[in-house]
Parts: sequence; structure tokens; C-alpha cells
Amino acid sequence: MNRRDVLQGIGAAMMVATAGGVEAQSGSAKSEVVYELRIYHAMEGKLDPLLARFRDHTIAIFSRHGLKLVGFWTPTDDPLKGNALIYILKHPSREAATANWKSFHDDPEWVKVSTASEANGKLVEKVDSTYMTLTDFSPSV
Amino acid sequence: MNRREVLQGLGAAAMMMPAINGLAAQTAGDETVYELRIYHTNPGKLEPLLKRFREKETAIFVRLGMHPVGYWTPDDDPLKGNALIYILRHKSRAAATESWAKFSKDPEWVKLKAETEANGAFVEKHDVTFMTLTDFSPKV
Repeated sequence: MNRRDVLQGIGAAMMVATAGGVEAQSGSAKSEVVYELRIYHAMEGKLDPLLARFRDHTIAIFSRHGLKLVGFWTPTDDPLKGNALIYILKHPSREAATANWKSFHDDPEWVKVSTASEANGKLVEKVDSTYMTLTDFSPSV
Repeated sequence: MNRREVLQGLGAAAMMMPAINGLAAQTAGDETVYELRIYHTNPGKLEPLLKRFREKETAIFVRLGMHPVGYWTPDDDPLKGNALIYILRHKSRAAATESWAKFSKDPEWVKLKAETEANGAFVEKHDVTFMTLTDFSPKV
């Protein structure tokens, strides 16, 4: 391996690193990609079972229906601490989001899981959903 | 540079890569926090706010150790055209406090804000939510 190969190798490695870095939706000005910010307000005492359902079932079912996971968080401060889940999904388009949510809700595994997990009462009191588009100065997400 | 150093260098680069996109929960001892910020703008002020972020503000964030995860604008009413939603990643909650304190006193920011808001404030109200990644989240 000579110096030139080495530098090329490092250059290639750096390019891979930037794949996850700053690159907005450039080159795809007509991109229809949409993101969905969802905030789940859990019923009292139901955040842990809600998180367990996501961990054990929901995220796998999401993935099966083309709902791409960006990130899942829980708030660290009152008043949302201990009673909210915040997450972001990425959809190929708004139409795809509608279609994928429908297929998710109709999924037999989801129907079974949601029924079983809510046998003792609902887990979620309210869901805030906000569809949004990446700005032209955003890192790629 | 000898072959061994090269391999070590590539190894280090390779180790960093999966952490960028991989599925890996926040590990024990990791104090990373995320901050979800929603800015509700005054009438007609979303465009100048976006311009300020695009041209200057994100760079100031980065210089002060705040890592932008993503910046979005809502697609639907009532937030369409009057809100900016973004997420920052901080090394810890203490680091977040420190970075914001530095930011508010940063000479470039103070000057920029005064200049851009000479005709009125851009932001009517902002919502801040600190949060941590769940153990089942993709790495962000």
C-alpha cells in the first residue's frame, strides 16, 4: 500500500462518514419526502407499557409497513416527564404516509397487540401529529 | 505514515461509521440529551427567521458545541408558514445550559439578532422540550 492508496482510502472513508452528515434534500428539489413528529400523551401510569409495546412490537410492525424510524425520545422534564413519548417517522411522501398508516392499522399483528396491551385500559390519551418538511439548511435526517 | 498507522486510522474511521447511522441505543453513562425546539413566529417573520438560520445561526450553534439533528417546517395548518421545528443534540444537560449561556452572549449572535430584528421580533413564543433517546430508538 503506497501513500496514494492510503490517501484514497481515507478519502473514501470520509465520504462514507458524510453520508450521514450535512446534506439537505438537495438534488431532489421535488422530493416529496415528509417527516412526521408524533407526541403521545400516555394515560396515567401507562408510559412504561407503551414503551414496552413499541420496543417489543410496534417498531417492527412500523418497519414492515414502510414507516421509517428516525428517532424515539422521552422528555426529561415536567410536565411531560414520565407521561410522553416523542418520535419522528420519515415517509416517502404524504400519500405514502396515509397508505402506510392504513396498512399498519389493518395489520393483524397490530390489531392483536393493541387489543392485548389495552385489555386493562387505553395506553394513550392523545396523539399530536405534525407533518413537516426538512428545510434546505438542515442536515440530512 | 507506516502501514500500521494506516490500519489504525482506517479502523478508527470504520468504528465511527456505524455509530452515525446504526441501530444502537444510548449506552449507560452516556449523558447525551436532545432538545426539541418549536418556534412560533410573528406574522411574516418565518422567511427571515429561516434565512437567519440558513446563513448564520446554525453555524453559531455548531461553533458553540450544539449539534443540529434536523430543521423542519410544518406542512399543515395551523403551524404551516409560522413555525420552525428543530432538534439539537448536546453532550449533556449541563453542556446544553453552558452552550446556551455562551450563545446568548456571543458577540456574533448579539449583533446578528439586533440587526435582523430591528423591525420587530421574529419569534413570538418558543417551546423547549429536553429529552433522551429511548433504548429502542435508532441512533440519531
